[in-house]
Amino acid sequence: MSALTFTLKTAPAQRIDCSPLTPDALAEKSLADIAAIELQTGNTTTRVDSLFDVSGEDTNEIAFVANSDKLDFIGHSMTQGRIRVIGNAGAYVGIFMDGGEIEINGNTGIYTACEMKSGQIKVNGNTGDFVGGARPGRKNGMTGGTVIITGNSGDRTGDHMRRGMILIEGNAGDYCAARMVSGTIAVLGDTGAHLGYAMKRGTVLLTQTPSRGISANFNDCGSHTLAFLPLLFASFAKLDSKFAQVESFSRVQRYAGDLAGIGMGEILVKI
Amino acid sequence: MTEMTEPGLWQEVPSPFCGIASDDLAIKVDGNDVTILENGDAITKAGFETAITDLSPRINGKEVSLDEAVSYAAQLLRDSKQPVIGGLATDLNGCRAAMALADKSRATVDNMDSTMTFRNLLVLQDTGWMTTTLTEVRNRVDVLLVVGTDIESDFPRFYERMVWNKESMFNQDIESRQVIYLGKTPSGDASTSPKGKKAQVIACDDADLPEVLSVLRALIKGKQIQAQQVGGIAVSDLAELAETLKQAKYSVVTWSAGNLDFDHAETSVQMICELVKDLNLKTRSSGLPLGGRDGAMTANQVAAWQSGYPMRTNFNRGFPDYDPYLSDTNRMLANDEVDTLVWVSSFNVNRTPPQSSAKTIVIGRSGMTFENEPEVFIPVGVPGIDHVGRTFRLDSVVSIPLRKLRDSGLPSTHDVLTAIENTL
Amino acid sequence: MLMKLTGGKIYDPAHGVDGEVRDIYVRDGRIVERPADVKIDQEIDLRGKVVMAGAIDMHTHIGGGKVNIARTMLPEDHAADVVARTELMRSGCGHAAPSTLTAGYRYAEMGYTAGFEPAILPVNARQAHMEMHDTPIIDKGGYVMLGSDDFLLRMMAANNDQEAINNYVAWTMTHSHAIGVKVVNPGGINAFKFNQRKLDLDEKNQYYGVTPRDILLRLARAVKELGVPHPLHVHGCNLGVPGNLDTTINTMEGIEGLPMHMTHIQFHSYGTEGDFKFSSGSAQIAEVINKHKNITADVGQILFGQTVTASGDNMRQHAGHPHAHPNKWVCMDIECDAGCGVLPFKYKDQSYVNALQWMIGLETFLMVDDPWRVFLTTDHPNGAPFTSYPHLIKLLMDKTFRNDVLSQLHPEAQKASHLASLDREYTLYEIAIMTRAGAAKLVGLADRGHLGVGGAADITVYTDNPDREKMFTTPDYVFKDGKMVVKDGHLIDVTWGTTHVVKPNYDISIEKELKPYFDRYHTQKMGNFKISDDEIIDDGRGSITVQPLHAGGKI
Repeated sequence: MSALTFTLKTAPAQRIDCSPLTPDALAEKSLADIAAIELQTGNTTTRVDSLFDVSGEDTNEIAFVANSDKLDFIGHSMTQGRIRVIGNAGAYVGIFMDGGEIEINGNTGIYTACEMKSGQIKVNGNTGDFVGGARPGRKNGMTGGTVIITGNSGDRTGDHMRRGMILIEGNAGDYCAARMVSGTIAVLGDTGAHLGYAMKRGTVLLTQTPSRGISANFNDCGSHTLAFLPLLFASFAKLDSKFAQVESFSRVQRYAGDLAGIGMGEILVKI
Repeated sequence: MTEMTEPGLWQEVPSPFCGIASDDLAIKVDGNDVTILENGDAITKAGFETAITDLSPRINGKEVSLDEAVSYAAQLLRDSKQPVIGGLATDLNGCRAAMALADKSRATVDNMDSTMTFRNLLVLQDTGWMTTTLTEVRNRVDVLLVVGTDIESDFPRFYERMVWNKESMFNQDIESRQVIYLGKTPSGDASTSPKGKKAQVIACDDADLPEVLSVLRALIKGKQIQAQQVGGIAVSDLAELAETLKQAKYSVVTWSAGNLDFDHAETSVQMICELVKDLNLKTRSSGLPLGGRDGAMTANQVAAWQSGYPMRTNFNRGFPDYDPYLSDTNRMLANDEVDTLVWVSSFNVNRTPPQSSAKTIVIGRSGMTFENEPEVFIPVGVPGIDHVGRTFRLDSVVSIPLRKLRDSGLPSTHDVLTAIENTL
Repeated sequence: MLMKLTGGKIYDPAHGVDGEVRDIYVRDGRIVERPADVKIDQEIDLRGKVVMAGAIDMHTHIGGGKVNIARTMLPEDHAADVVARTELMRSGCGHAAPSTLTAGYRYAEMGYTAGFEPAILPVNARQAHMEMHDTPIIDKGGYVMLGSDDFLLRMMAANNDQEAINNYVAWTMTHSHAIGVKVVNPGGINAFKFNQRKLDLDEKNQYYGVTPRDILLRLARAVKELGVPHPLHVHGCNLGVPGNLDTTINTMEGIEGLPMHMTHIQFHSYGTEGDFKFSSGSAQIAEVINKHKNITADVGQILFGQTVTASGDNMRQHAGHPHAHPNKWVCMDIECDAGCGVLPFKYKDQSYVNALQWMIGLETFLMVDDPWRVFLTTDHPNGAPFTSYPHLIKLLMDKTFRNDVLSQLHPEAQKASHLASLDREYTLYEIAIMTRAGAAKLVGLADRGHLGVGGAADITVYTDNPDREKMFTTPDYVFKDGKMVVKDGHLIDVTWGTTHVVKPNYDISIEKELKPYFDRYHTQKMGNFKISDDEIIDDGRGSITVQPLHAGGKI
């Protein structure tokens, strides 16, 4: 069977809520049913087949072909299967995701992996702000799963993140790990301003010293040999990511903060 | 009460233009000409004295009747796939009408100052705060810490009314009040005490303010800081400030979100609010968010009680759906997502709609001029000059009644929006 | 237009009617005598149905600053219960901090036709009325909060006579359009501003030297002497503190026989016995209430689940902040007038303390003998949202159901309560007293809460279902001022209720003191503090109903 493919006909003016188009939601549906699904766009709804050319039939393997950054909520609450996006995705890719895989060959908007619980999202490109974050008012961002970003992440990566892993092959934006509660963020490139701002717990792992240095709201706890790091790198080996090729290390300089709060967040920098 | 004490002379007039909402202005009205006689300042002078120009609505630049303009606006909304009711600089009933219209037309609501207001609201929704109001400040403040804000440029009478008032209810020696600036340096002398004591200034760049606040909070909590300096400020100076705040009996930490004009400033506001909470474990301290010009608080308050959410809420699906990012109408307009914009701006003729590809209906203060003539312009009166109204002060607690001072014949925003809603 | 409601079983405790089959005639929004030889325009067959006056919630936080803070603070609460627009209804949201529109619709759909906001700060009264103005169908009104305002405390510290205080109370009630007076943690909100962290009944405010007991006596006397029907509405000292039982008893016994309403008394009925140092004081509390006929109480029942607590008591709310769930909260000092505190809270059935709170509330309902002096509230939303009232009614009317729920709760809490041994089951007549006749009498509504001739035709009709929760969730009909607004549990018309107030007399000379006080210390002029009638009437859909004072109301 070939992937069920939604090819965007024309770039839309209004944003399109793609949350009904997941493997879970489309399982057991006929192509005719799928074509007739009404998607919210602006203040009206529009049939799937008037927005997209629909081809293929495997609802467990969905593809979006889109040259637009207005396709929101792709993979909303999905628990299994696979979604690929050829082109950019909009906001909230993988929100509430609880299993399965999403791969984006392009950039994403804000709130990629918002409140994600499990599964894997790979962005072969850059992400917007708030990767793995929580919607306003909510206390728990991402609580599990893995996000891989081959390019750069936006600002506030891992805001309110509770568990899980965000791996950034490029640079992280400003306020990386801000208000992070737990979990792991690893960055191969540089990090922006205000790294770890209001961070509570959790780990930021850096393979290079940030060009801006470490801020005064973190204390230097000295150099350490951490036995869990080689295990972490071993777990990366199976990933389709540059992280799989990173040579394992266990010696790091450890910084603890944000001192304004409970100060149990750690920034680990490879020595 | 606001009242006419002799023909054309009004006393105790409140200003709806700045968030402090001073209500001690004396105003002379002669026909449509308004002059402030007492207690004016740069903001209220522009607010009250701007002259009426247009009285007729226009469609594409051509004068039409109000009915024609209303029908045309309704038709644009009927055809719209993504309407926005923005600006929302109006009074209580203007906001009520805007919410009703948004609900019916499945529009997105936003206020022209949301970018600054949300620096506070996002904190309220994440961790909350301990705050106080103007009368408490006036009577109780002993240490005023001003963070990243030049108060007097936006709130010219703040010090006169809230800090250097003649007397406190609790027999406090007013001169003993301490004013400390952290971040920005004051632009004038309003913060200087009556006897000439200047405010202490601990200056840093906005870019460093987040970490400076973080270190200050850590010091308040008694944490050891390894660094000697943060943002060019000696940590020992911040330690002294922390001690001053801990010793104070009723410190007030104030900021204007509009002055904290950098990305993600809500994280700094949150740091301020959390350090205030920490101080309250032992002594009393309160935050005081300054803001709320041109009806911003009113718009958020009315939206909250009618929909559950503040601004940046859409009714696309027939129910309120809150998203401070996707429903940020500056972003939506810049991204060409909006086809019809209703821009409500009844206080300030300079606050015209942002440039966009959307068809635009301006419900604006008479006297407004446009670089690009909107599809529809309906000149309206100013709440508290041309019609009665009510507006919320910056603390969102006190609201004040606005009186009609002159009979210009201009309709109110409420009347116009309600007429559009009824025509839909 | 004459409407006949035929053959319903009438429960009208105000007239001693307990389930008699009668017809009711309605004309121009009022209940009228059976007219002779006049054509009946509409007849509704209510044979077999239960008919009561519309229910009255005498203590529900439906409008004002702290409620709107709760709304703004809790987007997650709304997202789980959004309400779409219909032909008839505006969109909105429900649950713990509902939008005003949805709150009105839902109250009506539950058979309620009035609700009273119990904590209107004088300085925030304008906002409370704006919000209630946007609350459809139900009548509304409010109790204005005094007791921590500096003006009163200054008067008391200066030992002003009672008449001066009466004047001030009447002036404040009049210009904030209130129907009652509330006191919250008497003087405690003020003391918190001086960094006092607790204030027991006889503890002095460190600046004014005034005690909560002094404040309660002064205000209770003022309310009585002014002839305000609603007794002083008291949220006592030490809310939520284990051991507060003694203070509560002391408060009731110490009021010198003056009328006093103890609100959400469940939160004030705690002992310190047992391993958890937290025990039920409801037996002692009920005994004191039973003995003192000047005392009334509403329970403030808690029910399990997520809600938000919104209170004027910022001293106690601040002390409770470590329990905020989720962890976000607001405390405010307000305008030398009062304060507020807003904390989201989740009551858990497997928490010993929460389970016992649930039991204490029910014990109080069951042990206070006189249903005219105890009222059905959850202190919405503090104990639970008002939409849980039908569930609460079932707990009171159905012992088997009650004990089934009880048996699922924290086992140690079950052992600490004798709720299981209480056999009382409320009757429909008693429910009608608590939620209609008694509530109207308590609030001072002459023309509501009863089905007698001349009364407003606020009428709720139910199907007599042994499942009382189902019965009270979806009335067959609700009439508001004679108009059918609900049919089969669904709204069919939207009307706008009135605002009930009292207007006690006062001597205008009080303004000679108030005006300079505002000028010297406040940031608003006295004249702009006052709310005009026009503001309540507003666009024409608001109205003011002035309820009568008790005979002897005077200055």
